[in-house]
Amino acid sequence: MTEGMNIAPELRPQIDARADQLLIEYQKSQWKQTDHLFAILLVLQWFACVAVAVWISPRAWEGLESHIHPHIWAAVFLGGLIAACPIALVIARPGEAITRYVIAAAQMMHSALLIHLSGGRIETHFHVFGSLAFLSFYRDWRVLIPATVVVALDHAVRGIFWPESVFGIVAASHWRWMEHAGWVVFEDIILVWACVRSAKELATLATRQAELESTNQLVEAEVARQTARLESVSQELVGTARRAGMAEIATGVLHNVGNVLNSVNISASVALNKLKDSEVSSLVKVGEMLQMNRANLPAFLTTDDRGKQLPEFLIELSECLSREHTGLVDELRTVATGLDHIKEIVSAQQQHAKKGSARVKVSPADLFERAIGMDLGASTDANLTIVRDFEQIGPVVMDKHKVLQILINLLSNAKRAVVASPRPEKRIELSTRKIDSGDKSTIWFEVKDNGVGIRPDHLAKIFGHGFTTRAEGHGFGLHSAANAASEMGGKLTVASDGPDRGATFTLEIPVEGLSSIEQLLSVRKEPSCPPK
Amino acid sequence: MVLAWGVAVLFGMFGLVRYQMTPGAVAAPAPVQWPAGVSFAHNSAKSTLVMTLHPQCPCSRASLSELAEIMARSEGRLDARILFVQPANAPANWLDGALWQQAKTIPGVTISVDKDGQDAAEFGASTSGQVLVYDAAGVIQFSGGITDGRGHEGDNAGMLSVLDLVRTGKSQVATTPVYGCSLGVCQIKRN
Repeated sequence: MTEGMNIAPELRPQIDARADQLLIEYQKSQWKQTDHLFAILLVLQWFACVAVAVWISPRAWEGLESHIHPHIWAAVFLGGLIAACPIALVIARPGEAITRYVIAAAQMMHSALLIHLSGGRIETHFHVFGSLAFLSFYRDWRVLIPATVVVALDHAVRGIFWPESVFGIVAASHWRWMEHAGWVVFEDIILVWACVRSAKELATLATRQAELESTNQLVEAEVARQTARLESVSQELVGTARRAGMAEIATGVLHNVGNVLNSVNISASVALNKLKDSEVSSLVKVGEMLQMNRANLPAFLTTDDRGKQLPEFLIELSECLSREHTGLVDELRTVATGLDHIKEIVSAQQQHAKKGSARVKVSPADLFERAIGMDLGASTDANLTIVRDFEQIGPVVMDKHKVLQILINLLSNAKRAVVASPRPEKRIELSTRKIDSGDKSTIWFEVKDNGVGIRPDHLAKIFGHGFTTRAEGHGFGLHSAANAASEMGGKLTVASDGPDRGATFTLEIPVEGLSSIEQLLSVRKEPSCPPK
Repeated sequence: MVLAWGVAVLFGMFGLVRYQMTPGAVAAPAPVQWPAGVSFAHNSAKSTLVMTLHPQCPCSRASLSELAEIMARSEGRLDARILFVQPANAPANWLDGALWQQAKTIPGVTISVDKDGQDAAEFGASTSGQVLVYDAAGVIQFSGGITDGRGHEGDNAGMLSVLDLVRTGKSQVATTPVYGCSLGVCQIKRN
């Protein structure tokens, strides 16, 4: 039976020892359960004896006088005595051999008592055979020995003292008794065979269980080994993913920095051109003229044609230089803002690497204006119209840098879309609004343009990594923007009616109220601007 | 403890069997000839069986079961009469009971009430379940019980002897112990 599983020979002694242990446990459990069943049965049989006695022979008579029949006393006291000892053993020593042997003897004693109380009814003798079968539940053929001995003893005692009650006086009763005993022995033989076979099956079961346990241990060990290996591989994968992620983040950072640098570059170019075309050279010429006529400066200013025009020229020149100064300051401010944002992008990347948060209290409209200033402020296209529809929203807590990066991306794309469109009137509509739902609030940023639009088949993959429709594009901007929105618990969506029909990007960012102490503690105030 | 328990049970069973195997008292030997004072005559064509019963005796159910067995196996060659002894001061429901109902179900049996146990006394019967068998000439053939213990059914010497008498006219045993309640007949007679 043990050949069922492919077990390594060196494991066999260990398995056999475990099988022996399991077999003992099984047998002990079986014996205990059967002990308890018999304890219940013995009590029930006791009650049955009393009921039978009361029903069949309630009183014994002598003429008109009567008294309680001795069978009732026998049922109560002798029946109780028969049941008492085995029940006490079941309570005190369940599962032990002495308990089941006493139970077997008591069961046969109950049979004898029932037979007596029922007036020797042949049907009551079935209790003997039923009890023998019930005793085989122990799967221990030895219990049949005390049971059979009690039956034999009952006949032997009666044979000695009242032979007529057992063997009868006539010769015919001899073989009747032998027949009776023969049937008991016949059942004993069958039950012994059944018990031995059942015990073997139990041993086989124990062996199989031991083999299963052994196999399970091997499997568990293999699983543990594979798990450790998987963990190792997983760590390698995490490292690889982290490096890949860092590369992607770096790409995103470069993309965002590139966007800002574009704005900075334009502003710097404008400033440079202004400086090249500056009227400062005229002022130099005025200085040279005044130097040449230093000796006779009053006459030069009053009599010379050029000198007479000089005051008026200086007034106009000062006004012109003042305008130039203002323009240069504006452009340099844009450059400074761009550089500041580059610094913030780098700082945000560093915070991201540290799993930190840059959540600050900020106004959505201000954030939009800041993005406009960086992306669209330097636009020289006179046909571009920017429409603002900003709902009055108080400061909310959000990751300023991430939102700003997303908005810059969206505005940059919108600007490219309208520039690339043949439509003469180019229009970008910007709106923000706050939507409250229960105790949660969401800030919507919408960037709508009437540019080149998006093909339907591109809509599904527009946020995919590396997807771009521009020859010089890299496909990182919208991908990183969508990722950033997800990281903030929000989402970035797009809608377009098709090519040349414009596009609308919507950024939804959940925001929190400021009533929670934890939120207040987690929020740092936006640093104040340095003094100008 | 187990040994003490075994011994105690053995003694208990011993007492129970002893009670079961203790026969009732014999008031007087059965008359050899059919008594003249009996209220009914014996059957002159075949054997006559007389059974005396205490109507409340639980042990006598087995006697009636054995009588039913005899009647079934004697195939009409036996005239049987059951006498239910009724003392003079017995309650009104004295005869009502399982024995009377059981007796009525036995084919070929005549049931009669023995007032004050007069007939039982004539037969010298003092224990419920006593059976007397007289031949056609009115000579006693058998006297005793037809069970081998109090209220104990099964083949026994008395029942087999009666069947032998019916079938062959003779038997190995003429008397057997009677197991049952006391009829109180002697007391009746004394009163």
